[in-house]
Amino acid sequence: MNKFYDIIYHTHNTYDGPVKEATFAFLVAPYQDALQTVSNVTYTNSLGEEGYQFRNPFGFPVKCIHSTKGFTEFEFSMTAQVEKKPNLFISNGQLSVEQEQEILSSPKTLIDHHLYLEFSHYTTINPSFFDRVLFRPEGQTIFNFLQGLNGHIYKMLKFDPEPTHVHTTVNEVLQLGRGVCQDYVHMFIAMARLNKIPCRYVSGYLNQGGELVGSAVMHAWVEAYLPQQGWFGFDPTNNLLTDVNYIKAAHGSDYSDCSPIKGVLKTSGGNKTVYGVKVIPVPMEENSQQ
Amino acid sequence: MLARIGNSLFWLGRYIERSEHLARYAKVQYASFMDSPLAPSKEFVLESILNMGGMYQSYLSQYPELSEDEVIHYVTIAENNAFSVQANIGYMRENARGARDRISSELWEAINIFYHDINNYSASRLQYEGVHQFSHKVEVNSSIIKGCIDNTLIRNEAWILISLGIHLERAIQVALIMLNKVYDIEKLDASNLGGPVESYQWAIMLKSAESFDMYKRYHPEKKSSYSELNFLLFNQDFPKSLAYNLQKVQGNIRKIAFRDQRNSDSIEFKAGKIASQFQYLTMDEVEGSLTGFLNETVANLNNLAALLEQKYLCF
Amino acid sequence: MGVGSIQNNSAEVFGNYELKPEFLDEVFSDERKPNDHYRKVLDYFAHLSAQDFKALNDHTKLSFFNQGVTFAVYSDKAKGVERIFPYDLFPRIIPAAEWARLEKGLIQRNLAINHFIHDIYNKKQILRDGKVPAELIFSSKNYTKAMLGVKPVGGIYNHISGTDLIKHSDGQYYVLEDNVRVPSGISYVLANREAMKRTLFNLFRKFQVRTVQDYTQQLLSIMHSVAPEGAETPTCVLLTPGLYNSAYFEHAFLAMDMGIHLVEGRDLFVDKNFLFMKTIYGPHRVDVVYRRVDDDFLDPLLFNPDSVLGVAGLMAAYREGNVTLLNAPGTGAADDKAVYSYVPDMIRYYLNEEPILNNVHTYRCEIDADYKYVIENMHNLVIKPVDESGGYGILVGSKATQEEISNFKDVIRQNRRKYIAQPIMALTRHPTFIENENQFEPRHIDLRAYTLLGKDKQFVLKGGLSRVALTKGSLIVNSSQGGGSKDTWVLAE
Repeated sequence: MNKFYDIIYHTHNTYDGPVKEATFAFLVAPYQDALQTVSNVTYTNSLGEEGYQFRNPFGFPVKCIHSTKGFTEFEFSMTAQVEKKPNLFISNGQLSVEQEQEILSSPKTLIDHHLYLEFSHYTTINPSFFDRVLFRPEGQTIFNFLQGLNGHIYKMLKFDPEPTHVHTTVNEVLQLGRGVCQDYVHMFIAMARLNKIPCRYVSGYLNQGGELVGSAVMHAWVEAYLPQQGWFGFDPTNNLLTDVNYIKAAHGSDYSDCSPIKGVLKTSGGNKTVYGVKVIPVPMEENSQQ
Repeated sequence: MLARIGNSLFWLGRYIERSEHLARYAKVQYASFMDSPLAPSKEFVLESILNMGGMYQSYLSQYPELSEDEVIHYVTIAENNAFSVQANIGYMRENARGARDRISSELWEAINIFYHDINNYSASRLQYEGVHQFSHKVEVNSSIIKGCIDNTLIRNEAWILISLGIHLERAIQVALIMLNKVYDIEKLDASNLGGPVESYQWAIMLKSAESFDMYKRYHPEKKSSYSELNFLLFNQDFPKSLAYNLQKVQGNIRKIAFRDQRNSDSIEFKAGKIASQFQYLTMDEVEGSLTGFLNETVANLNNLAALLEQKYLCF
Repeated sequence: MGVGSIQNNSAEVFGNYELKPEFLDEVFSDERKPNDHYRKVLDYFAHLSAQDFKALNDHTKLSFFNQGVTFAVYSDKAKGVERIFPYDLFPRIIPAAEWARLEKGLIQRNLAINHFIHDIYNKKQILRDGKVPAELIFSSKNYTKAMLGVKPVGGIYNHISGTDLIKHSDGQYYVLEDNVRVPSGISYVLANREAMKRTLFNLFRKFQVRTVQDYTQQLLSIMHSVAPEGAETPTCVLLTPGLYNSAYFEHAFLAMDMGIHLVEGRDLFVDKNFLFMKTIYGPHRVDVVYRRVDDDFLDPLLFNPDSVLGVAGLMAAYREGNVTLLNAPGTGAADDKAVYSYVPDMIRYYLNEEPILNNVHTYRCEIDADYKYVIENMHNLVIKPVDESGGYGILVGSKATQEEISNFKDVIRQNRRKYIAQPIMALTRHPTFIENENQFEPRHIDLRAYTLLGKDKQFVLKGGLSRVALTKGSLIVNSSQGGGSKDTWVLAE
């Protein structure tokens, strides 16, 4: 059954010193694809700048604002409407384990998906931690393995926003045993790639539960590649498979390809950011058809 | 032309004049003490030199007393003085280097050779050769550089901005020379006022602005502070006078033709206002409140420079 | 043992000139007779005494210094220390036929590299066909995902390349290295020619030497050829990291000679996906950027966020096709010394031709068989890190102590992908005036040649930077470590 949402992303930044010149880039709009129909994407900002857009290397639209107005405060928001179709049912597909592995280790896969197989500082696990890595047992299908990995990471880590930050690497997370969705995702990616499964970082919005509305933050999950079937979503933070409650904004190799807000500023002193996200399910009309 | 380059060229002009005037002032004051019975005390002279560079306080915060060698060293080549003649020449060269592609090779070489020469000036050489030799070197090279500016640069924005910097800074420096001398004279014993000791100071003022010869030729008969100040303030034809230089400033701003409404906020308007003051004011009108008038002029010129930078030379 | 057959004053400066059988001398044959095209030079020099040479040398140094033809060496941290790029009076002469072959080889090689760069950021066909290992390319730290799918104007990525060549004792040229990121040194080539004309004009005019002064004109024309469509008179700029960059002199020199703006990151901004520069009259659109800033510092929005040398949003503007960058970002993936060993394969694959210029045989420590060979033969090899330049991090096996070799083995073992090894080439030697000795002595020499690629045009500079290793016996000629240079004459006939 299709679900409808209003998505709101909002940020409020304050700066110690005046900002003489600034360029902001926002990667926050829900993405139009086979499962998501996006409409009425609107951007507003407190400087009254029109801004412009470009497509990032992964093809996602980025809203960019350049200003020389001089300011100490900046507010920005994005609103959009999304209609989500449910995923097709995915499971083990038609291939045997040997056939799956053959495809995964083929040069074609290695080349086509190299961005999602390589390791960065975020996703390189120190060999000393390899005893905590889940390696696919021989004879297990990829889908089953990934489901197992999902649970493995969910159990391994405790959700805690305190100790980690935007630059935290998987080795640090392994030591802390705690983290936020970004950390869960990097962990999943790191392990899946050690098992040669192409895997990408996804940034987007999660409908928190039922018809509840509440301020939240953006969410992160994983898309892994199943040979012959394509990309499918896993959410290690909640040990779930993605469904109609997950609204995708962008994907990339790791967090650095997906950061929702980037800014280059000419200023001195520090800044404070307050941001919030609303995912509002829109109730269906009483007599609309599915 | 890039705003940043425009800024460099403007400041190149300013630093040329600034280093030249500071060097000459030190030389002239020091010589004044050496060769005349009318000369004031050594402390008087050293203080005057430090005041001209705005370094009196900073000098005293680092040295216990006014010693001849220390003061001369401080003003000319001390490494711990960000406003020394040597430092100014360094800034001049840095600005030239930043705008290298906009100036001629001849000008660049002249600046570079000068810079390396002064940069390697040792304390012992300064002691041996004296401030006179040092300043003379600065003045001569300054002339060569200005000669290159005059003879090798096409009259485009680069030349206009350098010229603007030169004339603006010269006006400020001459005004500062006058202010310093008024201040110095006020420090003289009351008994010396109105007599040859005071006249000697006014002559020093003219020499500091390299205008003594021309003044004597222009006013062979007179010798009064009134006409000397008048010469430096209002003479339309003498290249060191404020009136002359402010005309140049106004003219250069017009030539740049910055896109701006001709309203009272514009650069052109403000420059014109100051220049025309000097066109039509007379010495009579300012004599009574000379210090105030000079201070106001310096402030206006600094504001003009700030406005210019903020609007067109900002990056 | 000296070159006895040269008389007159030459005995003074050539008297002790030593020839060694294992090294080819470019000027003297092994019977101590001058090679044909150098005869006139030696005749001319015969009239000059050691004092004369010293005077000429000093005069040139001063001239360079006053002009600001200087550079800063990275390891010197002292304030205001500028070094003159040492210049030697004895010109290096390349006969026309020899050059013609070099030129063809250079164009061929650089076109192939250009095809390669396009391929690895688009279809990746050469990788799919297994001609170059995919892993090698993707693991390069210069492989830039922001370049995926980009279609630069004219299909050119590698607009400016500096190919480093040596001549071996077999008389053949070998390519030592390809430099396709931000190759430098051209200003010294032009300054050397100027110096030659000022000091030894009477010698210079005895030969028909092809000009090098056309370089900047050609470069400008290349820049125009790759301007985005719709830009009628394209605005071109040269982006420099600034005054304190060691190659600043060159940036300023080139910008001036081409008549284009020399800009820094802070002079530029991107809005609406177009690049603008801040002029005294307001923003002005920029179409082509010759950037002398490394990839990582180009765009703080995408790459190193702390960089103040670049412009936020520049890559987006580039990808939209609204501005052209020379060289394209990401060319470093072809610049890597490990990739170098596949260039002859690239020539065959993309151009269907046999390579005209030779590669030096290269062992890649990443490969087990090669690694074994390297470890067993270190004393006969030169071992280099794939990603450093300026001659740093190199071990010359024949000159190293047992301890140095042993330590280096450890270093390699810890990061095999980072190291390659090549047999020690017997670089040719060329008479160089050694100040302290007041005479000419043979020194090892190489050549950096400059090739320009534009939309439907190619140009090779008729000349180049001949670099000599000033330290006696040293084989490392790269400028950052105290090498010197010579004016290089390509003869018209």
